[in-house]
Parts: sequence; structure tokens; C-alpha cells
Amino acid sequence: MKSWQTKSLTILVVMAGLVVIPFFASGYITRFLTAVFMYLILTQAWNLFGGYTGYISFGHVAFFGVGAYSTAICMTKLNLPFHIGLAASALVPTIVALGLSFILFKLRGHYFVMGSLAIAEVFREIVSNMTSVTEGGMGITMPLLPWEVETLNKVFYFLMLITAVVTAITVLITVRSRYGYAFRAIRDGELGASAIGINTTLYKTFSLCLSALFVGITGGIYAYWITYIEPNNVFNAQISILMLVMVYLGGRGTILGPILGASVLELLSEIFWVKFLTIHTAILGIMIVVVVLFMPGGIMELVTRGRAGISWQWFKQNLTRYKV
Amino acid sequence: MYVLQILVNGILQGGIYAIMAMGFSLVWGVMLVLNISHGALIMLGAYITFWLFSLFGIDPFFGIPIVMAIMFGVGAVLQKYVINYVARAPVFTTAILTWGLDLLFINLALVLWSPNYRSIEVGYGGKALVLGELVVPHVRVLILGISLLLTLALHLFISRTKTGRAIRACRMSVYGSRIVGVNIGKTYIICFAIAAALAGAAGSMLSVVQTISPFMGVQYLFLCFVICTLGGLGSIAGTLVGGITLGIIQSAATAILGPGYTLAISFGALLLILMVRPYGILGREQYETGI
Amino acid sequence: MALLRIENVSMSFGGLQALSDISFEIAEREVVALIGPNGAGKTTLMNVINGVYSPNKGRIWFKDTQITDWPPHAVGRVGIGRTFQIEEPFKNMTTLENIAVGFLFGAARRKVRVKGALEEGGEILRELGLGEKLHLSVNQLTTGERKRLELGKALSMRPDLLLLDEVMAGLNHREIEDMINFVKRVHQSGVSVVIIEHVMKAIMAVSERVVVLHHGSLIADGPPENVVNDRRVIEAYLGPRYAAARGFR
Repeated sequence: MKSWQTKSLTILVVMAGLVVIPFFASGYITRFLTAVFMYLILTQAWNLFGGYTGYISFGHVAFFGVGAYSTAICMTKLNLPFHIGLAASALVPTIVALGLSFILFKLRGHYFVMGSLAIAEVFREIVSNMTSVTEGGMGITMPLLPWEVETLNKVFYFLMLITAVVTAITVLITVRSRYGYAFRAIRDGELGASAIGINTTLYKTFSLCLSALFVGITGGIYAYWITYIEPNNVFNAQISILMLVMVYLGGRGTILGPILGASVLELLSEIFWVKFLTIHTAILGIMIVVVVLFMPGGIMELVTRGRAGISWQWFKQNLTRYKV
Repeated sequence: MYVLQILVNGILQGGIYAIMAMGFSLVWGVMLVLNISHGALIMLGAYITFWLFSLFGIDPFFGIPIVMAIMFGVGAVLQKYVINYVARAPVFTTAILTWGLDLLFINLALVLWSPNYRSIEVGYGGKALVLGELVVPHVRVLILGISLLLTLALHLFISRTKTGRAIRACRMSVYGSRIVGVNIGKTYIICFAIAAALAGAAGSMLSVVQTISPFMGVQYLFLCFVICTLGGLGSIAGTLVGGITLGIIQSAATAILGPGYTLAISFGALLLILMVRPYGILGREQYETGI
Repeated sequence: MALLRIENVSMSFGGLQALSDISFEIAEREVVALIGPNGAGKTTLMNVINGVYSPNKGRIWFKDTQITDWPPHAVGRVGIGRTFQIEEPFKNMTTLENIAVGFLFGAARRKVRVKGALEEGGEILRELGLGEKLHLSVNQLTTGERKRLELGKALSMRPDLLLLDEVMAGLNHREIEDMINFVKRVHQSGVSVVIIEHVMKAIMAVSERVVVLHHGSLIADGPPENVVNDRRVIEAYLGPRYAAARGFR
């Protein structure tokens, strides 16, 4: 069989499996997988911007929170149905990203890093303070669906799964298109990209907005799933952290990388870290340090290199490449 | 009078801002490294002070030299065994690495000291100088004084000592410094160690005026960045000016808008400055860290 | 009609005056060499034309459109391509992908699709002698090959004016010969070329006209034979004493 045939078959089998699982597995597994799907979306969306254009965003959770609050406000204050709320959670963060792009992309290199670091916190502050609209620190409670737990589990399972698939397809198409080339050129040499005719600001903006769209929708679904949101849990730095570590672990700037990273980390989380809850963040920190120093391309790089390409020497090369 | 109080508050606050930012400025200006764990270093300084106070009864201000010594060591180890390996990397790579370190430190603090807030009660904490309607707390003046002293010490070190000259040389040209025989690695180690020590001192002083928590450093990181940008990179005096300026801005903003918008205000200040003077108030063009 | 017109362009960085009142024109189908001692401002001039810097004073016209303050991508799209002194290939892409970028975003403004860009890119690479290396990562190319790739990228933009910044640097004799031939072929296809070079052989071989910069000012402009015997040029390169010794008054 040709390789694309094998690939398509594998994907089909996996998808079939995923569709069937919630009807046989326990609620726990269904909810676990739903969380995995959520991170699949987030990592792929983050990777579209951070991995492909090379602009690392530390504050991506800002879009998540904005999406969550958009849905929440639509459904509670404006009494609109869920699908409108969902549309809002896609639209509003995109518009916010557009606005931010005007400011953020005037900041070069270092300034962009710090700007993105601050963005999530700034939003959290603003949302906490706009109590009339957002109920501030008290949070918003979503209207509950009148269905049983089992059905709810399945509903959100499929919502996240479908969004994850749509995100994956979008990423695939975008990366293979001229946009993908523009992004990669920006990452690999912005000056050269500019000279060759790429309007870097335009393409960076596009990348950020598309990324924000998917992150926002996820926030919207999350709000309805968790039924209670407040600034600290939807503007939580932990989500940004996980997005970043997952993508780096898996391999940024690749298509499979984020998927790998998200799956591996969520799995590890469930199995081990319930025991090591107190040092969870430290382990993430160590992971980042190790990945950056020894295998900057993440797991995908190890995979593409194969057994022959990996050696102590290669690790050492990576370590000393940027050494003073 | 009210305006004067805001001004005084601002200057006093600015004192501690300046010393916080001094270390960050040193690392950023000399090594072009964005140390995202800087806030955590400040936090560690605060916690060490807390330990010294609660375990050994050492007054926080007297503990400053001890904290600085410990943080100097911590910084040196960090630079030598971790950060030196990414010193020549593109900005995003170094930022991610220091960010990972930040996570580590915060978690360390959570484990060692629990997420509960701690505080240090010093007997003279509440005393203030009262001039008419103007209230000038003693502790704050002391902090400002120490900050100025440390700034002066740093300036003398950079301008008068051999290592200080090496640091300045590295800042201007790594390539050139290498040619004349400067050991870049060692210089960076000392540079970062000093920065960590300064962060520690800032943390010590902070511990007297606010509660201590593992997350206290997070907000200060961005403030440091804004201060360095305001004041201009590569300039000690600039960082001082930037710190005091931001202190005054924050003081005024708090008076008008209330305490909830600190970060948003700093962010706004940053954007404004970058649009008007991309090199900061006192910065010099060649040290601008653009592309 | 002049293809490129530079009018009283000055550029300073802080206290350093990099370019002072430069004016000259480039016609269609012309090859002009831009020479001068190191630090004379050649690359700066190229950066100004290309849009990387905006000149403090003066104006630049390309095909009767003023492009003085245009950003690099706009300048690129309107028909000016350039190479960089320090090659800047896109590190994480293959050779073919690098060239394709030029087609996708360059001057033609055609609706080029990715597939078409890859095909045409392959052809240019074959002409450049890189046909074997299409799918290799650029890290695996030699210096000579990277220089050719740089040239190819600039060409894939289908420019009317090509700015070459020291394309011959670091090449051996054989490679220089190849590069000279290639520049000649590019010229014959109708493209004007401005070439910054230190390799005299290349300059004499390809250019019809030489412009000399010194300390940011234009000190000579004419056919190669005249320029290399111009007193000011000799002074600039070799110093006034040498010029005096050679018998110039």
C-alpha cells in the first residue's frame, strides 16, 4: 500500500475507535478523553502561531478566557442559545486578536515576548474589574442542560472531538498553502521573508487571529462543560503553560508534534501526577529546560531522526550549539 | 498636599521598583537575555529573608547582605550550568528556558513554604514621619535609601573594577571582548550573580512592606521590563529614573483608578513609551534590543 | 525612462553619516557595479533602496513610482529583488521550498499556487546547478551552493532590478566563473543588475558602468576603465600618498 493509503486507513480506524468509545467506556474515561481533545485543539492552535511563525506567545490563554466569557455572557446576560454563544466565542477572541496585532506586532523580539506574557494577566485584571458585565471574581454560572450525566459526557466529548478534527484539518490545509510558507519564512528569517515580498505583519496577524479563533471556541465549549467560570480558572496561566510545554515536547512547527505532546502529557498527568500534584509545575519546568537544551525539536525530531540519528553526541551538539 | 502625597508615595515606591529592575536590566542589557525567572528570584529573596527572620530572628534589613550572598551563589550556579548554554540563542529560546526555570522556582517555593501567605512584622513597621498632612513611612525611606546605595555600589563596580569593565565590554561587543581576552562565560556568571543578588535584596525589602507568596514575583517581572524600557536599556541611571517614573505613574493611577489596574497601567505606559521614544527615556540607540 | 532613480539620498545613524547626498540613475537592462572601500555605505545604500531603512533625506523612484518609504515587502513585490551579504536562507525548509517562497510572494503578483511554485522553483534550481539538491535541507549546502540559492531566491521573485550584495564572496575560482556567467545570463534576460563586489575580475567582466562610494559619498560614476584610473578612486582605496606617487596631481 502506498504511504498515504496507510495513513488514511490508520486515521479512519482511529477515528472510528474514538467515535465508538464513549458508548462503551466509563464516564471517567470519556471525560478524560474530552480533556485530551481540548488540549489537542489548544496545542494545535498555539502551534499554528507559535510553532510556525516562531513568535512564542506566553499569554495565549487570554483568548481562551475571552472565548469562555463571550459564551458565558451571551448565555447568561443576553439569554442567547448555546450555538450563538459558541459563535461569539469564535468571533470575539478573533477580533481581540486583530486589535492586539496592531499593538503586539509593532513590538519586536524581546518586547513581543514580554507583551505576550502580560496580555493574559492584563485581560484577567480587566475581566476581574468589570464586575457589572462579568461578575468579576464571583464568576458566572452557566445554565445547566436538562440532560443526564451520561448524555452530557457524550455531548461534550463529541463537541471537543469534532472541534479537534476541524482544527487539525484547518492546520493541515493552512500549513500546506502559501500561508504556511509565509509563516515558516517568517520564523526562519524575518528580514529575508520581508525582502522576498512577504508582508510579515499581515501574515503574523492572520496566524494569530486563526489561532485565537480556535482557542476561543475551546474556551466557549469549556465554559459550558464546566458550568462555572471565573477569571482565575479561565485566565489561568497553567493553561498557557500546558499549551507551551505540550507543543515543545511534541515538536513545534510540525503537524503531529502538538498532537503527540498533548496526548503524552495528558496521559502522564493522569497516571503519575495525581500522586505528584505538588511538584507538577516543577516537572513541567524541568521538561521545558530539558527539551530546549537537548532536543529542541521535541519528540517529532527524535522520530524523524530515527535510531541512527540519535546519539549522545547529537544531544551534546544541541546542548552546546548556543553555548557562550 | 494630596498631590504631594501621591508624588512622595511614587518616589518611595520607585525606590524599590528601581532596585528590582536593576538586576533585570543588567542581564538584559549585557547578555541580551530576557530572564523570565527574575520575579522568582525576587520572591526567593523574600522567602530567605522570612526564614532568617522567623528562624533566627534576624531583622530583614540586616539580613540583606546575607540574602545577597546566598542569591549571588544561586545566580552563579544558574548561569554557569544552565543559562550559559543558551546565551547565544535567539531571544525566544532563552525566554522559554528562563520561563521553565521560573516554573521550577515557583513550585519550589510552593513546596518549601506552602501557598499560604507569610508576612514579616517588624516593630518599627508602622512608624512614619508626619509633615502636616504628608505621611512618610520610615520603612519606605529606608528602602529608598538602601536602593540608592546599592545603585551607587553597582555603578562604582561597573565603572571602576576590572570585572565591571569586562561587563561593559561584553555589552558593547561580544566578539570584540573575546578578541581582547575577556572570558565571556565567567563574565556572564558574575553578571547574572550580581543581578540575582540585587533581586534578592529587592525581595528582602519587599518582604517588609507586603505579604509574601510564591506568586508574588510574577507581577514584578513585567514591571521590571517596563521600567527598563522606560529608562532605556544599558543605563543604570536610566533604570533608576525609570523605576521612579513608574512609581509615580502607579501612585497616581492607584489614586485615580484604584489598585486593580496595576498591570494594565504598566502595559499602557510601555506602549506609549515605545511609540514615542523607542529607546526609552535615557537609552542609547545601540543598546536597543529590537530585531 | 530610468528604471531606478536615486535623488539626493542621505542616511545617518545617530552620529554616523552613512550616506551623503547620493544621486544616480539606473536604466533598464543595465549592469552597474557598486564599489568602494569597506564602510563606504554600499550595503546601506542597498538597504535604503530595498526598504530596510528609510532615508533621512532624498527620494527614490522605481519605474516612475516613488518608493522612498516603502517597506521591504512592497519594494520586493514591485520588482526589486536582492541578496544579502550574509546569506539568509530559510533554515528549516528544503532548497526547493526556499525558492518556491520567492515565486509565491514575489513581483509577479500572479496567482501562483504552491504546486506551480514548486515546479518553477525546480527549474531555476536546475539552471543554477542545484538540481540534485532540491529536497535537501539548506544546512547541507556548501557556501557556493548557498550563494546560488540566494541568487535563485531573488530571481524567483521575477524582478526587473536585481541587487546583488557580494554574491562572489567566499567562492573559489571555478564558482566565480559560474556566477559571472549566470549574472550575464540574467542580464541578457532583461533584468537590470546592481552588483556590490570586491572581486575585480567579476566587476570588469559583467559591468558596463561602475559607481564608487567613499565615506558615504559618490565619488565616481562611469565605465570601468575610466573609473579604475580615476584619481579619487585610487586615493580612496590606496590612500593619497600612493595616488601622488603614481603621478597624479
